[in-house]
Amino acid sequence: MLFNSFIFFIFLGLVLPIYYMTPSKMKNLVLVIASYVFYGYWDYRFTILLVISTIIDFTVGQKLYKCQESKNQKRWLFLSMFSNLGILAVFKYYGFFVESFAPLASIFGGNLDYLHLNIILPVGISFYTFQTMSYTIDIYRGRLTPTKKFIDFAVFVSFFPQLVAGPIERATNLLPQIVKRPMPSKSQIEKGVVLIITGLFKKVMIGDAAGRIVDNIFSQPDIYKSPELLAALVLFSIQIYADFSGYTSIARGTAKLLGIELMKNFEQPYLSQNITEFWRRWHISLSSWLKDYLYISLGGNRKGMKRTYINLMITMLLGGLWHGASWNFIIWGALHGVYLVIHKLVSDKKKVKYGYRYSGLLSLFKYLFNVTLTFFLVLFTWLFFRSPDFSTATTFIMKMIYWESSAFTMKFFIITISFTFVMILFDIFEYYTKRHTFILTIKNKGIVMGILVVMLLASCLFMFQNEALPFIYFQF
Amino acid sequence: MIFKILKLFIGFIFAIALSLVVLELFLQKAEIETFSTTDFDSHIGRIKRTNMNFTLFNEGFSMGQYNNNSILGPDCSIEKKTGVFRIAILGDSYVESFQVFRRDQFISIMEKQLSKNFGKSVEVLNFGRSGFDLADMFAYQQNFVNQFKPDLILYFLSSNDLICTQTDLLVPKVIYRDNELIVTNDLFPQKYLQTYNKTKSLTQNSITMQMLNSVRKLILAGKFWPKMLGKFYVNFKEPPISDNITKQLPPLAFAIQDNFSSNTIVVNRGNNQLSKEFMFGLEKNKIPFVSLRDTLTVLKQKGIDPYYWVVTNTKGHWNHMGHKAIGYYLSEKLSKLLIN
Repeated sequence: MLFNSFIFFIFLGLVLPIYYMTPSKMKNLVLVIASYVFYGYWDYRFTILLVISTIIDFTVGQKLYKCQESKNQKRWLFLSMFSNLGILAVFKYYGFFVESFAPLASIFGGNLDYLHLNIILPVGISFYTFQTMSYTIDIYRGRLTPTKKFIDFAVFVSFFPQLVAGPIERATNLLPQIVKRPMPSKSQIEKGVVLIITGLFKKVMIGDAAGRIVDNIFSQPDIYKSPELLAALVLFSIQIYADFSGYTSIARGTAKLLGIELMKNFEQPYLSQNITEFWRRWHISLSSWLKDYLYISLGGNRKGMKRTYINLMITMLLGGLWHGASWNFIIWGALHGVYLVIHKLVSDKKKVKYGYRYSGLLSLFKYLFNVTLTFFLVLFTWLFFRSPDFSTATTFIMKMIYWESSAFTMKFFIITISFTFVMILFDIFEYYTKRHTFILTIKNKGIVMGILVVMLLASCLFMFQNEALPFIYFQF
Repeated sequence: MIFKILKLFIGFIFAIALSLVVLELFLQKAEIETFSTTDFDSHIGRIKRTNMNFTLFNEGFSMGQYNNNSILGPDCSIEKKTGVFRIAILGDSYVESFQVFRRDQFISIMEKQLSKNFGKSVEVLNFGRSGFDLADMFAYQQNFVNQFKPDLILYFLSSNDLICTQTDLLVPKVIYRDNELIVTNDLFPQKYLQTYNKTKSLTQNSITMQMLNSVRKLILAGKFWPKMLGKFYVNFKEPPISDNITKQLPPLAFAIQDNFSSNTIVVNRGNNQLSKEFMFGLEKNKIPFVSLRDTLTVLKQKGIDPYYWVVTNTKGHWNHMGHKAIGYYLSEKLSKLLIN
């Protein structure tokens, strides 16, 4: 079920009163049923995989906690990793590896055609497998006590607001809330509604609207002119941010209506002054997951500078691969890895700048220069992220080098500026109020209501006229 | 207490008004939707607006303009420049081609290729209008197109267009009465026209109003529940059985055919053959005929579906490859026809 569809709001309208009226003991059962209905709406077969993953990790969690012997603990942990990564390998990466090894096999006279299988990629598989993996790893590391109730764990895995595209929650944050089965406070309801409406506006009116241009141009870059391609790339950077941060806002807002707090996933990433800061502000739940469970496990920065750089590169390459089984994502990850290494080399031992405080015009210009530079570095990586194949990315680069003018340059420029301006406006308000629900800082609630009504009206009109586009991160 | 409520209410109204203005500005500048492209002229009926830019999203996406004479494309004068060979193309949404930029449309390809083949400037004017059938096109030619004095007129027709349903209430009607073909403006429903004239300034100047109007039309077309319920929507209504195949062509279609000007060429743009009787009439009236079926079939056999749109995963109007094939095919065909 897509958050940007009317059926989701009907679903939510049914789930919320049932959840509120259900006795505390049964609340989590309601949540599990609702989550499975939500997930099964795409394809009921996906829920089977979810059940399997839940049963395995619940059992492993119990066993890990019970057995004290480190040898046995490792075996149980291995079982959890094997099953979770196995699911990912089969459903997400199998086709990629077969396709990648086919040319190599053909050199030696082999034919891998018989290995080709048409496997459907279950929605959000990377998100919930990473979430359940963190559960077992945390128990193994002694940071977490496993939950005794299967139903509580089932909610942790399948909690519908964040099931398909995160934020990838840690059991230490989410599970205690689920066990408490809370009712939302008045403040949570207020914030929840604001987050849902602003998130929907970002997703629909900015993400989807910009995405229509992006999708058309990226599908046939050869027929478009250089300024149009450049506009499409900038628009994609806006689209993916609006799409994903919009989704996260709706997820967090929905969770708040159920009395549960989810972590923030974005903190105005395009206002970052350097690439390290960018990764502290972009897809925070994934970057912190990779840091805690991969980078640190590899040794982090404890084994010398050279090893730190290697660890960074491995983490970013695997981070790229997490997004999808395609060489484009690996290049995207590699580029970010290289950026991070260079930044670490340049700013070695200096404290990484985070946030900005005005201290004269010069500092403002320096800040704006750094933000623009970081944005363009990130923009270049988005080219590989968005291109469906190498030839698309190559066409883009060639058309940037061999510039062709377009009669629509000004039109594309104005469109791009308009989308960017609105998105940046959200960011600036969030940056200065330090709140995603910045609208609530307005004291007159009538004004708040008025703004929200118009945002909701616009989103609904757009949703009614257009087919609901899935969130970009659903495919991961 | 009353003061508090009043403050809230004033704040609410103020915020609504201000937000709507900001929203409108954003919708316009970001070209999320285009203003209504139509206007009304007492002689021509529903007509396209002049000097209007648009960005449209459908199966594909396009940017373009209606020029100083309400025609798709760059500005042109009513009077033909000396030495210019002018071709007028009449048709429905397939000719209108809102799915691709003008530079990729078959019209532009024809313009370039024919100019090359003839060694003189060829101007192709796009008079395509969504929903137009044979009668609508004929009325449009009489009331509007003829003033441009085209050297050649191409009618792009499909078998359905010959049924002449003339559904648009604000387009002049073609009547066949007492063996006489009349294009009349007397049949515009006055109440509908009045409502249109009253509301058009809203949809012509506000994107928000245009969006509301589009949603209203979708609701009237029965799309409310399918949109709301998604996969859970069940349609209990029996789908109407198409009777196009069995339907006889109305006498009006033959009368229009008999009144085609001598510089007319009929192009079958559809997948089905035009009716035998109609084809016989064309032969009788010595109206040249071109079919696009073979070209499009060959394209399909090569594994390129000219109706398939990758981005929206839909079948619809001609895609870029379709336009390219048609453009080159028609250029060749017309070159031969005109040289002969």
